[in-house]
Amino acid sequence: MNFELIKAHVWSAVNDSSGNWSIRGGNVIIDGISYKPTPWRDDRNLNSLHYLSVESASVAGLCSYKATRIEPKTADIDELIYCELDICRWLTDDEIASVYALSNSGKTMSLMLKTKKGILCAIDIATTLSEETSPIIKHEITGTEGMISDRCINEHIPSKDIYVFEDSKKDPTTYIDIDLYVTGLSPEETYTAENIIKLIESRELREAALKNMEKLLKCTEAIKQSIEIGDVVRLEEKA
Amino acid sequence: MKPVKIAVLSSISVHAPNYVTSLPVHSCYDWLAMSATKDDMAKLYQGSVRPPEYVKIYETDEEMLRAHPEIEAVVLAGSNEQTYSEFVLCAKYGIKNILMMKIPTFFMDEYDEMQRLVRENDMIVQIELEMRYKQVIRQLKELCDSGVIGKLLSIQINNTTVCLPPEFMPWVTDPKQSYGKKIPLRDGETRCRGGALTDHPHPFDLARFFTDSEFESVYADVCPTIRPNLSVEDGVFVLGKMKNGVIVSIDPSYSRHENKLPPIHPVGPGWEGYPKRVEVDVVLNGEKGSIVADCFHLGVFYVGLPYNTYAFHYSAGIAHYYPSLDEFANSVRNHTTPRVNLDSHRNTIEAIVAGYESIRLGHPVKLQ
Repeated sequence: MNFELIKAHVWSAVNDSSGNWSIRGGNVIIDGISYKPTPWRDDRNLNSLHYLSVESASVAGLCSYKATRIEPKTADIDELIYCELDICRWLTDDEIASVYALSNSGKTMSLMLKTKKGILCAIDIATTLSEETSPIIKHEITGTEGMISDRCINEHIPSKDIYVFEDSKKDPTTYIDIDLYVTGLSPEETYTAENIIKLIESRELREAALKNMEKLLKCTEAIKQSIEIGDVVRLEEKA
Repeated sequence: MKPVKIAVLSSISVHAPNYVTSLPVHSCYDWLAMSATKDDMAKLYQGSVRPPEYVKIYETDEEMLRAHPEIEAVVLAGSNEQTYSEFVLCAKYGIKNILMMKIPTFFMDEYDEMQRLVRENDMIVQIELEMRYKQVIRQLKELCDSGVIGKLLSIQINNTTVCLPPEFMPWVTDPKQSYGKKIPLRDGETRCRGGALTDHPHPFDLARFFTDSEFESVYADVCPTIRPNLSVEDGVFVLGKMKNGVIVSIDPSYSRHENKLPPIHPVGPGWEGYPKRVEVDVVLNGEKGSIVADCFHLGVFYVGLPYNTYAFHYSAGIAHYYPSLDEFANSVRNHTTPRVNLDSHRNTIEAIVAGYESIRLGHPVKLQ
């Protein structure tokens, strides 16, 4: 991600009276406090999942949640775990109660989690792709009245919206139907910028973000402990 | 090859209709008889799934075996609970060649007894794990073995399906007929063993097949019931470790919803709620890359009769049953051991039982 571009976009968008802020090491520092952005919470598709699973309860009682994320080998697996844990909590509207985790060679990790309301969650992560390959991501929520997913039936690799097949090239150039290109930022950079702007402009959001970070820290510690001891770790016991 | 004289017992397995349609056209077999109650014949074997006129129908297994001493081989196509007793019955009648469904038994003393009978009576026993005969699975195995993604690190296998309504096939979601005994999932739980985890051994078998290893430990848990009146588990996840260190993440759930309208008989396209009735998706992560595969991808989509719902029609049908039947016939005639047999299948069953124990205990379980 190009944080200089993100910084420039945020600078042009925020209200001048928002106070002192800077971006360092992927975090945004506001009035001396460091906040970890959660750009996935501004992702359009994930917002649709949230609307369907939580806001409109279109599958009624939530039963299970699954996430798969396969990323390039240069990706930081701990960052991916943090991201997917937060997405899991957000899309189930619940907190993690227990974790069981297995890891192999630092490149793959699989988690089984249970939330406080009993929703069973599986998260499978791998950092095995080449640097040029786009991530393979899938989320699925099952409820008593149906299921929701950001991948269509028979679709396992995210598909694109425009494919340009030139007679001189073997593989098509592709585009997605999001009006973010006008800013010169990639979708992920745009979501990060939007998330940072919201943090700068809202004290309430900053307070919620700190509580969120604390809970996620407890989850990631529980995951490390589970991998070490080879057993389930219950978060209430840790508290 | 001289056709093998074969009979089908009980005929209420979900896959029994596949044999009813494939045996008459398979040149390696001379299908003599099948046993099925009058009710089951009326419900399951009408129209295009009716057995040919020359196949004699008997109400009980024993009646059929007594009437046909010339039977060389049988397909055990009853409920999971019936499999052990049918096996013992066939051994009593001197039947040496048995093709059975994917769950011989979950009770290791019975499993020991079956293995003993095989050894002592020099029997040929093949387990019907038809996924092994699909080209996509063979291709995945070749890719793993070629090293194209390097050493395997983790596997994800989803075998997610609809749940057959009890009014269509009652035994599948009856704890005793499915698991063999009514055992609650855990203390204080009304649901019992015998649901999705029982019905979907394929992911466990494929994990062993791809890794060339055995399960070392298994952790499993169930989600809140998806279908309100089900007495067995429908949503369940498994996280296991193979002896060679590969992580295996399995989803064998009945998480694909059925159409809420009354089911048509026989079950066919349009009957689903979620458009695709059966899914087997595989992700293989290695040191040098990943493979993502859909083992039921070949098909078409439509909206049409009888329910005007969007449905997926799988195009390869039951083609993978023919290589399985080829292998069984060859094993019978040449007296060779089929690739999936009672001995080789044991670790899969043990892993599933360990999964249920894990659900009960709330901790991972190490296999013996």
